[in-house]
Amino acid sequence: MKLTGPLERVLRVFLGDLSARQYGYDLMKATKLPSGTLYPMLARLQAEGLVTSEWEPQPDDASGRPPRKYYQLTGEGARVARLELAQTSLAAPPGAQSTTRPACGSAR
Amino acid sequence: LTRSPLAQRLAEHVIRHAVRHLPDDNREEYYRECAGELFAILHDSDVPSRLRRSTFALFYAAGHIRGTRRLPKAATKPSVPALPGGATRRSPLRPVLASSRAAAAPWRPVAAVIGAMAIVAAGVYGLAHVRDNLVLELRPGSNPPATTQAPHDKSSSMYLLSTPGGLFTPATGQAKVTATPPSSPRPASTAP
Repeated sequence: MKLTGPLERVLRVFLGDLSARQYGYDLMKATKLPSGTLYPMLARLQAEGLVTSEWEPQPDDASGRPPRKYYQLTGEGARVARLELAQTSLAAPPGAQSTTRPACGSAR
Repeated sequence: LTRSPLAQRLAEHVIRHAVRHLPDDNREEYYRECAGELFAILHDSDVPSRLRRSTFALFYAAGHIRGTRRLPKAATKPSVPALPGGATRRSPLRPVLASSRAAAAPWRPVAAVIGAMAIVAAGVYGLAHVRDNLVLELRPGSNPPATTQAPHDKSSSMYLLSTPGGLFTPATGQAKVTATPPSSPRPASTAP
């Protein structure tokens, strides 16, 4: 199955720390995806039951910060994400680069 | 009296505009989520410049205009119903990808074909113009091919083409030879 680059990036961020809850801006910074791409993807993942979301309680600090909505992979989502990423890496030809660009100077 | 920054108010306004595309039950929750993110963006300590934070907040809000148009079809209901008997689907991510592709408007292929034809026609027309101009400049006496009427104003063609024998005026088609006498006669070949 062909896994698109943005979806792969999102799944990798989620799989990086399964116990961590991520909110939208966190994911945007980690994946470098624009909001117009990330949020529909999160909504679809949530509709498929691969991601769950929950609102944080109203913060009691005096900054006036509104509550955030946090996302987390479900157990099924983690299983599917691992499977899809493994299939993608197996299907890639040997020596093929990942969708993420390597850091400068990391490859000679 | 505390007022939110201008960028925040603008971004909230854009988001409020963007969520109009959503169903009623999702609209307010989506707006609340975006408002929470806006606060995080505008108070992000990793970005020291306030101008950059404000700019990013506006881009963030503008991105939701595009995002909310994709959202209702996929997010409100699963695109593939669950299989009976607890059977597992072959790939649960397939509907996620398929719905993003299906969100494209159906007229897009037609528009793409028309656009490609227009680009090709413009390219052919432009190449014909270039060819006619080249013919007129290199061979002033000859008629250009009847593809286009290339504007060749004589008054504007006062430029001179330098040729090996002197100067070439395209208006007359004659070479004005500015002969310069050789400084010394060419020595005859002494080769046997």
